[in-house]
Amino acid sequence: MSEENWTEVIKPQRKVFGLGFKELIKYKDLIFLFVRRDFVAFYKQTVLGPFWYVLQPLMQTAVYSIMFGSIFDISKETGVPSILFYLIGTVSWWYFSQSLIKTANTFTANAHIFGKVYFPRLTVPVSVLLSNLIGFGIQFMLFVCFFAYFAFTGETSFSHALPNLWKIPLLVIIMAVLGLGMGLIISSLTTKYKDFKQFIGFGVQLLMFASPVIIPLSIVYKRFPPWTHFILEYNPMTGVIEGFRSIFFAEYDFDWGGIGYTASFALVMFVLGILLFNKTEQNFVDTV
Amino acid sequence: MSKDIAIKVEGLFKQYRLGTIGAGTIKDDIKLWFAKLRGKSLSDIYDIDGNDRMVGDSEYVWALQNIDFEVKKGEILGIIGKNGAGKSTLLKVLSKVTGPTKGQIKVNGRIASLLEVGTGFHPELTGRENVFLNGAILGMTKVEIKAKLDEIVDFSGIGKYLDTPVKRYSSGMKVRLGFAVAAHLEPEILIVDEVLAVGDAEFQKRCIGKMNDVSKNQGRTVLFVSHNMASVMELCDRALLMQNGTVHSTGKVTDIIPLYLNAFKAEEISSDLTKIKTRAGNGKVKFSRVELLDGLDNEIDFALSGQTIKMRLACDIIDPTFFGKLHVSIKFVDENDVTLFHLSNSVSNGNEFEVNRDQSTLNIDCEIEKLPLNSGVYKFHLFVSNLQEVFDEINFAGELKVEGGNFFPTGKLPSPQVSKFLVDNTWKLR
Repeated sequence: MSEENWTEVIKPQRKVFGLGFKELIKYKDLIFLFVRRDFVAFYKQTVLGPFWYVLQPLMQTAVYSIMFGSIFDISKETGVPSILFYLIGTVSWWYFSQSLIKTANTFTANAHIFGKVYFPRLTVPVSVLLSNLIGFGIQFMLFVCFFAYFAFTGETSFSHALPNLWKIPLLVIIMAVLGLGMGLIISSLTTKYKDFKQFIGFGVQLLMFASPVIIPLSIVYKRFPPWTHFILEYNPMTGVIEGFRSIFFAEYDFDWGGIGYTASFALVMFVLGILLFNKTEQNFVDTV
Repeated sequence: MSKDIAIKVEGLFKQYRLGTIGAGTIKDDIKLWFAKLRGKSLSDIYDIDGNDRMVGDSEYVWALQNIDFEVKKGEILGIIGKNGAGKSTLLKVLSKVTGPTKGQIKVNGRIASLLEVGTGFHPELTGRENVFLNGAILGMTKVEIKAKLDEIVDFSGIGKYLDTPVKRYSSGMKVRLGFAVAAHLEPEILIVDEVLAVGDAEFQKRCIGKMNDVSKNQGRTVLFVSHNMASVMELCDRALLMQNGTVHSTGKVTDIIPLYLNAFKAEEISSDLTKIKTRAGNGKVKFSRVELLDGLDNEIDFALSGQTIKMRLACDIIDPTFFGKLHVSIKFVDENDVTLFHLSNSVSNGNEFEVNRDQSTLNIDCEIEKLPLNSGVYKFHLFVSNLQEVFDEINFAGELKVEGGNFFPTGKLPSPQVSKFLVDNTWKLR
């Protein structure tokens, strides 16, 4: 065959592994425009605007604190004000669950655009992670405000939190990779089997109940049957949520083993997700 | 030599699965996956005709079979063929929206495809924001779009609406804005799929002008799919005729278009329309018969200029739940598929036909009082809809042969070469 310099050769199977990082960089403007679109469209024609990002975890925390806070006597049990206990839980869970659910919708929600134009499909999940990061940032600021208040009243202290702050980006990255990986797997499977779309909504909710967002681990060990401990320990989000609590509350220890488990779980999901995504990406238009 | 080739398609195949994808899919998937795992090659899995060896009934079809062609740089290639010939599939594979099953495409230069205008418009965002979003989806960078924003806005003519959310735009404005963005892409290769079918006549003309400009003055390659032979003729140098998923022939536009039109002739023309397979629409209502009658309801083979004729149509209501308004139209075209005139009940009667709940057929007469056509062979397209969804559309449903007649009291007629139409007129000295 002659040595021809083609810009591109379109073949039946493009790539099995690989992120197409170069192409993603080329389309970075598109990623940022997607982020902007998601962020702006979220609060267009609303009175409260970005405040909605704050309102949701606030209400959720209020409900949890009033109901479960008194049932389980969180403040006494953990030594942490129940508002702070629930706020950090809901805020970190929000980032993971939103990233997972929205990534899982990548193919089905964008089938129309994907069916008409080619651009690297991975731009969509990447932009989801980034736009959720904005929401997470806003919600995290809310938590910091509450934390500052409780530090002022003396129930918590900055002296424990400050040296640990560097762990925050680590935990966020683990959450992002975990949400992305699981989301990519589900979105790839959804293109053929719509069953997963039904599953994802309540599946994420069930997963939350199987995490320490609502019930502190210590209570689970004391009051719940042993098989529930098993579920909780193997839930990859347990390590992240407990990790966030340990950053701010002296009563918690940062569990490197748990984080290590979560990180390796996230990595496996990510690799599997990318594999499936790459396999699906090229021909999903025919089956979706 | 290869330097001036923009696209080279080699042995391209594309397979689709027929029917619904459901519970059976997972079984087939596992079977195919096992076969691949055991190291079987594609040819073991599929037989030569493209039927799936692994799956009992042949649930798979080849939408494209062994496509080979080349496009030179700076060329405008028109891709023509009947509905279902594989044109759109070919464009989809070329623009990487879906992958080929076998074979490969070599590309020299950046491709931008325009299978639709305004892809990715978000209704809540303003026109300006959507220009950036749409431009980026099509592969432009922010800087490129910024540099061209004024030109794009100018071309689209939406001016002061630029900062209004797109959801408040009329459909025409959306299309114009979408095309304006696309027209200012600067790819080496542009792939266009009948986007010209939308928009008003003036806008279509502007689009054709822009595409001509893109190719002739800027030396870019354009692949253009259309059913409109007039615009293919006007735009393209070369054409590629597709038939049943294969390349029938390629060559100069003037050579290929007659082949395309003859392909329709070859399909035996009969008054029974149920056998015609190449039709568009959802099939809730279908044309079943068309007959040509004279003013006294006698069936005729050809009409005379100036004669009163009736087109007698029969429709079957296929969907038993359908009732309501029915819009029916007939479009007469010449041998180059250029529209001559268009008749419809909505325009001529001012309203649509009403179909009752339990009606299963509909018999319609369309009477033309004084046929204004000179002698020649004309064709017509049939179309039925409820103005929201297209039920049935048959291109080249039949022929209308016209012989010279007494259109004018003198019995004389101008030569068909100079006057296809006949118009009543009087001359006097004053």
